[in-house]
Amino acid sequence: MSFDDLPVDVGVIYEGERVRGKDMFVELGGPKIEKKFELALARSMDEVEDERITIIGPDLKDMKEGSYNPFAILVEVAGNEIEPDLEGVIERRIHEYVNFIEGMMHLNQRYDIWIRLSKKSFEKGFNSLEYLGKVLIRLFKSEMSIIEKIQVTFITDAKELENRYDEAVNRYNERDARARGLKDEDVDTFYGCSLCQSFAPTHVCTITPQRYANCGAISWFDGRAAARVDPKGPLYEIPKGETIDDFRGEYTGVNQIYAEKSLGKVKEVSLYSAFEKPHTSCGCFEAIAFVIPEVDGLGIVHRDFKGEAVNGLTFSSMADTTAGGRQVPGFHGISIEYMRSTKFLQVDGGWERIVWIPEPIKKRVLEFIPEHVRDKIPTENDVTTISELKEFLKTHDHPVVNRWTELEAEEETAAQVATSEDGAVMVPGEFTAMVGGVGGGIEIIFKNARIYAEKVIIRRKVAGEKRK
Amino acid sequence: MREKLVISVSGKGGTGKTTFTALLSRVLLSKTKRSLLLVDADPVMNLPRALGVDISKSVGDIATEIRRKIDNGELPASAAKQDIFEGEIFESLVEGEQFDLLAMGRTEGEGCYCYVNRLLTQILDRLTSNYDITLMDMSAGLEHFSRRTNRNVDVLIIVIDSSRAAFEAAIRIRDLAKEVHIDFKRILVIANRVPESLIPLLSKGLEENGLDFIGTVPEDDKIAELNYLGKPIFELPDSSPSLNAVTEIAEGIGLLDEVTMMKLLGIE
Ligand SMILES: Nc1ncnc2c1ncn2[C@@H]1O[C@H](COP(=O)(O)OP(=O)(O)O)[C@@H](O)[C@H]1O
Ligand code: SF4
Ligand SMILES: [Mg+2]
Repeated sequence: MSFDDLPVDVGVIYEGERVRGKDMFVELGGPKIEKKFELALARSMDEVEDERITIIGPDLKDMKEGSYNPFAILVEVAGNEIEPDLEGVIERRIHEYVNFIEGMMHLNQRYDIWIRLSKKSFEKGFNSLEYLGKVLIRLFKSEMSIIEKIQVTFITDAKELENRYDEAVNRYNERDARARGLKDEDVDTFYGCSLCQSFAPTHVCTITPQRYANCGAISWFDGRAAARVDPKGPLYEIPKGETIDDFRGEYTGVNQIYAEKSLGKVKEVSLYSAFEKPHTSCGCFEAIAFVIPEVDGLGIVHRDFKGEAVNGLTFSSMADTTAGGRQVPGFHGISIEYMRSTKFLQVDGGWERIVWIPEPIKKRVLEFIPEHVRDKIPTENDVTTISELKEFLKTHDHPVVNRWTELEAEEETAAQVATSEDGAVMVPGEFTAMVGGVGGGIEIIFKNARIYAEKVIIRRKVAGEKRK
Repeated sequence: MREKLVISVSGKGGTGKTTFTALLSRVLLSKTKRSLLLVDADPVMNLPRALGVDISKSVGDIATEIRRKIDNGELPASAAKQDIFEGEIFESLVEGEQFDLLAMGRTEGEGCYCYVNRLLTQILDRLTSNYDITLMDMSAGLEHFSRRTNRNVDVLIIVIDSSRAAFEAAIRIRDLAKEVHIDFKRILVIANRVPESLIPLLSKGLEENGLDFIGTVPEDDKIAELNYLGKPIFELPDSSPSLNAVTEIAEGIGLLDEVTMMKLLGIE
């Protein structure tokens, strides 16, 4: 592809170039202009006139040196395989491509775009948006072969921009809504993050549309953007590979990345379980899903929760158990955003398995808790001890109560086991136990833990063995 | 693009890092045509005042705000945060006639900053590559070494005064730099407000510890005066002894001449 007919150079080397205030000819959009936007739209073939460039309002050469101008870029594309889902990807390329131009800077996105053209490039002859349109059209067509037709419109007329502004914002909102509905099944690439390996050497975050990063900071879309900018960096693509079990969230590609990045320490992961082959937990998680064996349910405690959770432990003491990049069944680091996902711990029963949650978090995710259990999950304002919790769950008919029949039958025979003198069981070093009622032979590893309990049932369940 | 030079000014608190940074930028601006980015990496943020510049928002404020928006789910679901963050940081850049200034400040609040810091590093690397010289006024603490904020630094300048603590800090900085494998092209020591009579002894002490001593800045009454009046040090008259001393130091490092500058960057 050649840009010989352009007055300035175009290439990746200009990507990081910033145009300083004193070197700029004009600013397009930017913080000083209230309304601006860039928008990519998927159109049908007959709606796009290929390679047409339209400028509505004053062109660069009509602008005053040092001025700030209203600005919108509209990229309309058509093609057999073009669909609205691709608009976000196409739109982000506008940012890249504008930055490829010598003496042009593009920052931010959507209704916050901020573009500058340098005096130098203007003086070299880059005096029309026509050139910008040419660059965009050529780069889009050469890099995205699915684009069969493309037309670009620039709007610098404040009135015209105002007229089209709401339409653009609606489009972004629709896209966000669609993004929220994006399912893990819909994509064939996840993203991995190893930023936390400096203190959790075996940790990898698998970031999928429905499982946000543990720290809550990185969405699947962030992963995609980062992996494109720096594919060898700490955020990288994870090709899903074969789906082993989509309900459990097991994929060959994910397992392979874990095996590689954890140097063999972690081999298999079920993305949507806190118990079985759980996703590793680094130290940055926003919340912990922790097992409450007495009621066979999971509690949730978040970083800002200052007191003791219903099991008598604080966030930080449970965080020590959870963190470090290991797979600790029953102590599972998660993000708040993940609680908004329909895949949230679905292997374990999802919200039907959650038996305790701090009030502030409950409020934040309330609309994502299925209605039939919403009132059945107590907070610190409802219960503060395990026995109160039990009572609450029973009287509110929480779904976990159905799991108790087995547990209660065991209690009678096992009652004498547990209590030591001060009511605490000291667990020296590291030991592994099976937790009754959790199902399927689960491992819990305690490391230098001090466990307080009214009653502890630890039972070995051999396959085929009859219940005592 | 041309080769870029990054200089960082470290040392114990109160030795004169901010003062030296301001003086050196003044010299660079008057004696060279190079574009200059100043970074105040000390959360206390004294540099803007020394330069007579107002800042409205620090990078730390922006990072804190981004983290808060992440927590509250206020950022658009399908937009990339790196783009938003970069735009906002650029907005906090103070663009002057002569130089640009970025104040780092500090982040507040809990939650994980791994990702935000990672973005920050990338964004700053990109930004500094746009200036001939980036000059960073560091904090007295040494945590920036382990955080590798210094990792692209070519010349590390350590400022000391006549206190033992400042001397020991210089040695610790040198050792730390080695430990974290930051490959400085040069590590240099400046003595600020050290009495003439002490210089030979000090010079010997530095030499014994393998530190490169390149100059002294005298106590300057004019600095004290501007200080008292609350005026920027940047307004020091051309003839000031401290300014002359820093000009000599800049020359000694090789910052004022094209050929020596290339040498400094390792380009022959
Ligand atoms: N050469 C000097 N002559 C007079 N006053 C000085 C000199 N160097 C520093 N000072 C004063 O000493 C104080 C500390 O200097 P500063 O540069 O802020 O130190 P740092 O940045 O290392 O903490 C300031 O009030 C400054 O004006
Ligand atoms: S918690 Fe966040 S920063 Fe850490 S590895 Fe996961 S995604 Fe990366
Ligand atoms: Mg200072």
